[in-house]
Amino acid sequence: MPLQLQPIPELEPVFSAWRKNRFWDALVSAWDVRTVGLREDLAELGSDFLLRACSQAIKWNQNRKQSAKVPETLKKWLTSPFEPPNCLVICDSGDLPWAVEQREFMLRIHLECTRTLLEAGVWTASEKSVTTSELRQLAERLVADVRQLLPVGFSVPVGFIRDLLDRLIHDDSRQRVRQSVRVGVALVSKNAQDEPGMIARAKLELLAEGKGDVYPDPVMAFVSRGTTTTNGGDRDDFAEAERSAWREALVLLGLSPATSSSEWANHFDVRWQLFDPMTSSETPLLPPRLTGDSAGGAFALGIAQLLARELETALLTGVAHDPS
Amino acid sequence: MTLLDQMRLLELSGVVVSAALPDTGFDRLRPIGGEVAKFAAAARDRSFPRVHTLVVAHDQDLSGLDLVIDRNSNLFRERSPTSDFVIVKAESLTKAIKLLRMRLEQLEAGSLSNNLPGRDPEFVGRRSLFRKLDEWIATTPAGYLLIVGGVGRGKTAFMAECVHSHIEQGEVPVYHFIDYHPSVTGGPESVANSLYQQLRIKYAVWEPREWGIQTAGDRLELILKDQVAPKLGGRKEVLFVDAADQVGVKDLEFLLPGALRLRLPAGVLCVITSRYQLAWLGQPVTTWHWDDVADERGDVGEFLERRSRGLPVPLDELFVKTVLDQPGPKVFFTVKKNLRTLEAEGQTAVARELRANPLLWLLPAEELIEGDAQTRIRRLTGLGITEQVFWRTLGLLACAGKHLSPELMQELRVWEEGTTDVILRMAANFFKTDMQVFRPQLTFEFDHPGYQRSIAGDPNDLTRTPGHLSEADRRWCHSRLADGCWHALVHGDFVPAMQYATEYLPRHLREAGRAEELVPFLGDFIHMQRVFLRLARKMPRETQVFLGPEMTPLYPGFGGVATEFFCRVLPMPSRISDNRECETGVGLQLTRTPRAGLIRSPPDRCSGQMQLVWGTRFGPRDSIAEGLVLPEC
Repeated sequence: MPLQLQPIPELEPVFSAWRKNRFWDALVSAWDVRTVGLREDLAELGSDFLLRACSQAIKWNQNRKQSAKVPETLKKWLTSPFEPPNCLVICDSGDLPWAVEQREFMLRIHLECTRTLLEAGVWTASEKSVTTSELRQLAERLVADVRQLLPVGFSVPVGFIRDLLDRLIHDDSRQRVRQSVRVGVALVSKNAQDEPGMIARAKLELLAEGKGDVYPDPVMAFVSRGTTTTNGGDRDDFAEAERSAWREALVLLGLSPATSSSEWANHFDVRWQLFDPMTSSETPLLPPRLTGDSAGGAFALGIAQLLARELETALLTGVAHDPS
Repeated sequence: MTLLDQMRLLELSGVVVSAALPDTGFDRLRPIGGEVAKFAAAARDRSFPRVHTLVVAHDQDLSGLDLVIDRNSNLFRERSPTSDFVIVKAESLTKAIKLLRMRLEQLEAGSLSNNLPGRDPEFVGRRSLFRKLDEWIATTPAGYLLIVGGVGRGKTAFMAECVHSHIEQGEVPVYHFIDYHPSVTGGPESVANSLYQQLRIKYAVWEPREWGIQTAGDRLELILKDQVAPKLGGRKEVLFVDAADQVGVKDLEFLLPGALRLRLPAGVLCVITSRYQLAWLGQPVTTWHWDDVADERGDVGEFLERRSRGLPVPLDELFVKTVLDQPGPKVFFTVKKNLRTLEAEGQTAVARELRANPLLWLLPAEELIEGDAQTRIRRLTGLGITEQVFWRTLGLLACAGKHLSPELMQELRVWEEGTTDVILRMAANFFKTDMQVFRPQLTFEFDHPGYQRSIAGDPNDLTRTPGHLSEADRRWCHSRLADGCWHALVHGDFVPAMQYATEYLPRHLREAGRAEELVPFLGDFIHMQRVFLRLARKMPRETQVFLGPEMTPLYPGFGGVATEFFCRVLPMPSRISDNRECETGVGLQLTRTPRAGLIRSPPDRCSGQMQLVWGTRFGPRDSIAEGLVLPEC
């Protein structure tokens, strides 16, 4: 993805490194910029910026590029207090504390994942393969490690961390995808500059080896999602809409809790991502924040279809019992 | 239909759900904050593909929208002369699913027979072709692209992968795959209607009342021009049509121009695949030949390599290279079929043969050839041309190639009367990768040295009567023919050997005035070559070969040719004798079944315990099903 930003002197070293495909160096440069906030165009790159930088850090370390000093830099950044630069976490156009807090956490998670992969000696896919169970174990360990760092009311499923780890060492993390559907969702924007109502296309993917979690694709890691706590319980809870959608879909299909069929369903996760509805191919839609629960109905319908399709296969193979 | 089935089959593209879930309890929908009119506008005008249905909670405020209410169905249609945009109010998801089904039925989305094959998990390669196609789409303002190729080459698999990859990317491609045995999917109007209906849903077009009386072709033209092109905004709309050669066109009717119009509006492209049977095409369009655009060696090589690793015993690398290095097209269908056989059968005789004979990886699968032949026969029968005429024409073309003209066919009395061009084209492109067979010109070229020497007089003199070769000349020609085959074979180059034999040997027969024998002869002969090639490797050197006395009456004039050929081909001391005299060796006791081309050897007559059964490659299904049985010597 080409980075086309207006020149700002403070960020020039970041752009310069990016243009030369030195993504890790771009991140190192960005870390030193304390005077400007997260610009809209940089925010739109979302997790792509971090993913590229961290992936490259792993590759460089693997290739013994000592000058990159990846482990040392990570150690320095992650040693408390964790103080990421504004230009990576605070929107220039104005931001809310809970959204900044989530972005800081996501930035930290990217760096923690990178450090974990380096320490575990897991290199890029072309050099050393990593089994799915190894990935899961690493993800579970990380989730336990960062639990105390979670923003209030926010959670990070194991599946998300696993996808992130996978994405850092592979170009693609589609191995777990069992089914995929797309459904239109209505989004409410609280930003006065935007149209108050907008439509997005949501891609929902059913993933094997899950725990019944619904979470965003790592590409959407820097899109902050409203929680009940952060929004004072005023039904502005996007994260709760994700959870409700899963429960609603199970009930809709007759996979009631505490049944064997429900147990079957809880071996899957659902990963979602939003796309721009105006493009024929999929262009990620990366607003700074998602609030409100209006996506709940669409997610429930999509998840129900994913499970219904998977259930058909499971019934045929005798893995699951007919809920009816 | 259970809710589970309903849920599974629901088509959600073009649907937006704008409702929240309840805080407590289940299966309820809650209204959302904000003005629904804004969402509706966004859904209707700022989405691609267009949203045709918006689902909201039953108590959602719809003020600000100009709606026509159908209280029976609980559907709220926006008052618009062109746009088909409906709001569904539902109190629960269960209810929403039922109403959505009703809505999709109203759109006739469920009745579309666009017939997309399932995604092939084994699909690999074709990268260069995808790249070329992307380039063509990006650089072409509007128009058609025809990709033509022979049977079993992977055109449909490529097209299906193309469509599936677009779907995977979140797009809503418009496509139509014509069935191999076309029925509903195969009429020109069905093709146009399928494309039209998909476009109507994709662009949420409210069909004007006056369109109802138009033909599907007219409606397709109208929707492309009036509704699709203006909404593209710099994008391209690509229509995919697969297997156009299977379309059921009547005499003097075409699919293009016809139900598909030659001129497409700006931004609209259409990619069509077809075999070299272009009766459906009335005007030339941009055409790619499969052999020119597909990296056959690379793609088949990649596939073979990848799949070979998964076999119980991987294929020998040198053998794979030999297969890939063979001249001529690579038939993906055959490669896949052979790999499946190796997976299933492990170390059987068939599997061993597949691992040893590269030819078996190159020939088009018999079921494909037969299916193709049957399709052509059905079509010709509809035009009043008999199956016999088709087979005769096919046989003649096999030996004469593009030198066969309508005039020559009439001279040979292949048919009494009829649609010369149609039958010739239908039979000619059965073999050809050359599309220029619409009007092949006759030049009787006998480039075999034997003919050059033995035919006296002007070779362009069409008035001469065939069959004036002396027995000595004919014998000499046969001998040269056998020499040629033998030389090719001992140098290990099987493909030229087979071509040499199949091209020249029938010419001898035709020149001998026995063109009517070519059809049964041709199919059997190809099989006989294959059998003898197998035998040559399997039999001990001292084996005797004899041909039964039935050979001669079966193919008048053929016995001498065949025996000479086989004796030369087989690198062993062979002799021709009556099978009753044969004590050891391999015997071919040939008898003929009532169906053309099926030849058997009763095992009890063969002291070498050899039984050969083969049928014509292009013959009826029952003989094909018999296949070739070749037990151990």
